[in-house]
Amino acid sequence: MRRRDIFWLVFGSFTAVPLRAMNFREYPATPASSISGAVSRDGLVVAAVAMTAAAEQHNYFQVTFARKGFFPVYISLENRASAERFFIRREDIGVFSGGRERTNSGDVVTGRSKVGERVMLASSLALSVGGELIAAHMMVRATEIRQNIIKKEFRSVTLGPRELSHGFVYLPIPLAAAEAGSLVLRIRAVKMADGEPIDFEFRLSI
Amino acid sequence: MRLFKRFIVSACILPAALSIPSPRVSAGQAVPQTKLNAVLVLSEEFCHSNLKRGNGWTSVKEEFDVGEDLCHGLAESLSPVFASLSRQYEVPAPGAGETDIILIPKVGDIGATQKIYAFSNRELVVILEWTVLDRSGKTLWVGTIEASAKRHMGNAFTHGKNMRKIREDVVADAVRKSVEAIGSVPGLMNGAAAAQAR
Repeated sequence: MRRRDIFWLVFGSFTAVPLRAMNFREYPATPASSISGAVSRDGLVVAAVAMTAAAEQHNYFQVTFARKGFFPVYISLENRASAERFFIRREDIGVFSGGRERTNSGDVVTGRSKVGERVMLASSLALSVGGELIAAHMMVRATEIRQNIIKKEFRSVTLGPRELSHGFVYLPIPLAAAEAGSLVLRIRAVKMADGEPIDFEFRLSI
Repeated sequence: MRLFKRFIVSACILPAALSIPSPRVSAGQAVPQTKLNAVLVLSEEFCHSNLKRGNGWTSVKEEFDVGEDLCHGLAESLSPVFASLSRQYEVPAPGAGETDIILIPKVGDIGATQKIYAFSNRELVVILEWTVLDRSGKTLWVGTIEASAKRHMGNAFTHGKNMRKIREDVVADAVRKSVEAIGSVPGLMNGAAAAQAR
């Protein structure tokens, strides 16, 4: 094999990676009633499953949330009432730790790769095309990870009779909860008929 | 006379050709209609929603100003759905004026992927949360729509144009899906919800 062939082989393997779009696995949609630990009130069934295993997080998001101080929770809602309608707002899903609500949401990842930017700077100074390609790939990857997180997030919704909804919320780990090893997740649903709020609480191990 | 005709034709055609396409609902789409008076709350914050990133040195500098186009497009496209649609910056007090329903949009998130090569397709996603209230301030409906558009990343010369196009496409998609979603709110189109509130 000549030196030129080796060059094209190495160059080709570098360029093929960024050309291939990242493939994120879809989390299987599971009705709340078939998840263990689901809570039912006034016909609304709610379940929350914390995704704490790094391997599982990497499988569906290609990111380790613990490094960012977050963890994802899969939420599933099922309206089994015959006539009652409920609405759930994204901002009404929050974390309690030590008796008071700490925070309800978080900007998990910014879509910015700081390492990628540093590599790009170093490569530009060193006039290294290979380094620039690797840096660009890291930055592209960061934006795709963020897009996947946005798409899988739970959304504010109105649930009519027999309707389902599901998605992830990305919860920041409060310091007290990290020490205690658990926290309380509160999901508030509101009855459409009279505006009465119903709170569902789940103790999650982290 | 011929010159005058040419002038008239030019006057009719040129502005249409030069004007920026507004992200209204397409001609083929059936627009639901109701006899309700609506208020569309377009807050300052909503109309300035954007996505800014990059420093233009070690990363590509980009800015997607979707808020302004959304405000313009939503007001224009929702107008034919209702008997009257007024635009306000804040949520009106319960029972104020002749309002039957209040529509409140909120940008949940904006995300844009990036690509290395000019001909690779990138995606822009806008998450829009809607809240519909009746005249007494009671929530009638809460829903979220996901608008998305795909375009080439573009090279050094076409990147700006592609960014503008993808922004226009995503706003058009958001407007179309919003009209569809609001049109499908139970009890809204037949006025049952508003009648209940009175």
